[in-house]
Amino acid sequence: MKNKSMFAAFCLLLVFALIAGCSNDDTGSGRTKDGEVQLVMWAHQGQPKEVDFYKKRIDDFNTAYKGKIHVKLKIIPSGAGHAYEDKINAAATSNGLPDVLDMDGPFVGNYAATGLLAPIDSYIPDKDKKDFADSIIQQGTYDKKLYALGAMESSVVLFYNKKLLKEAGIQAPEKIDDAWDWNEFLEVSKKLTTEKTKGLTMHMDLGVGEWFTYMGSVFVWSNGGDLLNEDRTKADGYLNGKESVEALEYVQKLFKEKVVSMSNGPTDFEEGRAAMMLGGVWLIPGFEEYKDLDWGITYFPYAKEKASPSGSWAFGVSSQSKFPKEAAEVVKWMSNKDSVVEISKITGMPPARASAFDELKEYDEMPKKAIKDQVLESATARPSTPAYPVLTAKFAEAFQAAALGQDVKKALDKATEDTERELERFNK
Amino acid sequence: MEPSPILRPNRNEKKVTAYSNKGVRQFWLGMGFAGPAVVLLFVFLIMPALLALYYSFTNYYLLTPQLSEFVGFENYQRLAGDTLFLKSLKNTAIFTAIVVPLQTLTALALALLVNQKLKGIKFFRVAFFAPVVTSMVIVSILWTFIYNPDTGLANSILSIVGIGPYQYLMDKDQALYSIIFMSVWQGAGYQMMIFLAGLQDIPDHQYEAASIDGANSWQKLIHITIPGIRNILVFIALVTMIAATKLFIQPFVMTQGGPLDSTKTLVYMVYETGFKFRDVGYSSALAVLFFMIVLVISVVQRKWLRDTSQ
Repeated sequence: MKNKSMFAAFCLLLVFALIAGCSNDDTGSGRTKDGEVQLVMWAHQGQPKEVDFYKKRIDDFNTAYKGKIHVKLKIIPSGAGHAYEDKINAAATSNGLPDVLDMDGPFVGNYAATGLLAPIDSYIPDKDKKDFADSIIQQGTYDKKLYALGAMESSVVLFYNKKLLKEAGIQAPEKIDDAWDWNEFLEVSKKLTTEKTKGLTMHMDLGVGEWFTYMGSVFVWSNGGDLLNEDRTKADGYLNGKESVEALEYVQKLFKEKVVSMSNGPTDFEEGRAAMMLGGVWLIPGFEEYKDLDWGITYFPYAKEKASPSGSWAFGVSSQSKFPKEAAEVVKWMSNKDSVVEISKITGMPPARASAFDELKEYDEMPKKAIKDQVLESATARPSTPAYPVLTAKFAEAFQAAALGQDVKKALDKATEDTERELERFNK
Repeated sequence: MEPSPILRPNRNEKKVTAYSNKGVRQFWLGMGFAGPAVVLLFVFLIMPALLALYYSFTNYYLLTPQLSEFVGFENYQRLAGDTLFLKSLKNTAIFTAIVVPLQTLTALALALLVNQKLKGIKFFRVAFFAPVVTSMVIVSILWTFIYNPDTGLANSILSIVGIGPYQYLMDKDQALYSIIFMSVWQGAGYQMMIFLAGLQDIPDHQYEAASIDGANSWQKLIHITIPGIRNILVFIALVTMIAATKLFIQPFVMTQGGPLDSTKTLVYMVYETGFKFRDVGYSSALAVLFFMIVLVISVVQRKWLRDTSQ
């Protein structure tokens, strides 16, 4: 008899454990007895150094605001796919969002339009806003309201292997005005392609995802085109417009001429199997591991207009937060000048504030000057639209189709059709 | 433990009253034991399925459930004209149609091989079973390296015999078949184990009798082995079929459904539409249709296999 009741108690315990496990203790924000506001913050799991920075900055915040605000930081794996995004989506529907969250820049429009984020305009002084790079304000703004601010900007530059370029007798441009145009770029890439090395790697190994849109849409902008109209309400005639088709046909040509490969490895440039690389500036710290690599940076090649990728992770306040004012303090802290300078030093990403460049002397000369030039002169933000999740996936698929030698116009028409349908949902 | 009535005859009286309540008691006891499972099944399986059916008639957007509206059969009408859906359906059908017979036969062949009474055969049993206990995600990443056209193992091996090189996952005509091959390699070990259990149940004397009658190995296989494991064969064909229609991890990890949608499957499309594009309404309609398709195939297959085995 005793065993039986023990067993029953055990079963009950299991059920309770299960119920407790289902309840969400991540949203444990509230006010303690002594009036300290407890906030929860999510950040994606970037490079280890970046994660360490988040942890350290939040520790500093907790010390500085002791007795007033305490932030619990939770690092969420971002995975190669959409793990972090899925987590946010799931939390949004189940009322489980944290007070502060970071998100990839181009998704701000989608989150803002669906009421996931609270505007932070009123908490940020105008003087402060002016210090941020235009592209950072653009990516954080939806419908004329500011929703997110980041500490980092980003860019994709053309890395080159100094040794291989010297052997081929090629001099890389040192000024943004001298940047290679598309024809020159193709010629240089052909010259650098040998039996053993490719002229270029575009990191096709990253798969159909944000990278293709982030890096690939620059070809469209540079050709005078855009993915959507100015109001961000229409794709037809833009995404599949003449400029866009020409741009992806140029990309296709690079693959047809075999100067770049679909099947590149992740470190082809670092290991000397590719002479040049269209790569993110976040790769720079990793170059240290490759002692033989003598690298330089030059500008993203252009057609008619100078353009370069931009946008990075940004912090925002969730609309579910009971303490938006305190949460905005965290956003401000994470994007203040100290944070911006420090994260820039750690990750190799360009800073999001103009004033921060003054403290980072390495951006005054090549190779890093190229990054500064691009951020301040040619950076173009991806369109801030609630239809972005569909737009980016469909553009990425069209980009891959182009690389694989498919009919570009047809691929872009299909992308346009799907994007138009999605825009309709929000244009209503 | 209830005391035995033989050992404790003095408590017979008490037992009679207990017996009169036995039905009621047993009912509650049964409910108590079944309860947790029933609740869990309801919360995590039946309710989501019913909700999906309901959502499939709405324009539910993942981030704004409060704005959902009833849209009737709109999602289903859109399905009918969706070329991507037809492509996903076709890819799933091809995958299932090839994987089920191929994997079943491979598993059977492996089982026959490792059923030999040879020294060290256990090593091979473990070797064939090893991929099954490895996570599918890891196996998929591994095969992505093997299939790399420039540096992969597959092309290196084929080049020795002068074949190739192939593009595998980078080619829209090869990607699905590359995934099929790898899936069969990964999954066959599991069915092999089940077959093996069946094979060891067949009594040796049947084979001995056949030998005396002068049957060769082929005749023994056809007339003794296959009939002996018939039920297992039916079971495996059914289970493999259902698992095959759910293909998701391999394209998710290896190709993201590409190139050019050549490895997009129904479940992948459900995931992509629902989570990446946040279109829960349309995604639910897809899921409901997928459920119907699998249901119809299972019922037909079950009936057909039952009829033929009688």
